[in-house]
Amino acid sequence: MNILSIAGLAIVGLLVIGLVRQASPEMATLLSMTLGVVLLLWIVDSLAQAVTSLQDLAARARIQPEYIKAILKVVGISYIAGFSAQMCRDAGESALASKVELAGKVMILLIALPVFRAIVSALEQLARMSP
Amino acid sequence: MDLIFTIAGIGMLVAVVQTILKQAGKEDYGLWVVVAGSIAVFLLVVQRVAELIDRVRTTFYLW
Repeated sequence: MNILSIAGLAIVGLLVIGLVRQASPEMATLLSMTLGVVLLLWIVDSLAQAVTSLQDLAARARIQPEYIKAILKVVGISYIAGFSAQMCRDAGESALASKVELAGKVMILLIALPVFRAIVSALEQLARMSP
Repeated sequence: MDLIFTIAGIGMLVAVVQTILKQAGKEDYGLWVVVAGSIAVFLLVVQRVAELIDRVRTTFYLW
């Protein structure tokens, strides 16, 4: 998407949120959440193109597709966890935000562990081959 | 873009209704007006959030 429209939407949203916050603070929180969602939706559309070209490159380099998928999953999890943690922090619930971030880290660890296990078993094979 | 101005409008409306209720001396209804407005807006926002999460899910091969 066009960076100018994203910047314009952010600035217009800033003004509207500032106006609404005086009237009703709950609506201002919901409004900033909506703005975040709309901006991220635009970014995801652009990111999808980058992901497809990345997959193309990986296929050309003959990297196993499950490793690329693991990396993409990590990016997606951090995307969602970061978004919701920022929403929580915006609403003043920083404790909730750090729990969401912790959950994201645990999920990423779960995804990374099979890759790490593959590295360890490859190292084991190497150690067994050398006399 | 439409959604943002819809939410801003609902917020302004809630504030105006609250002020009118305060003028009429029925402040205890004000809370319920805020709750109803918040729920209405939240229903709008949740659909957008679901759209975002679904888009991220299909882009990054999550579950």
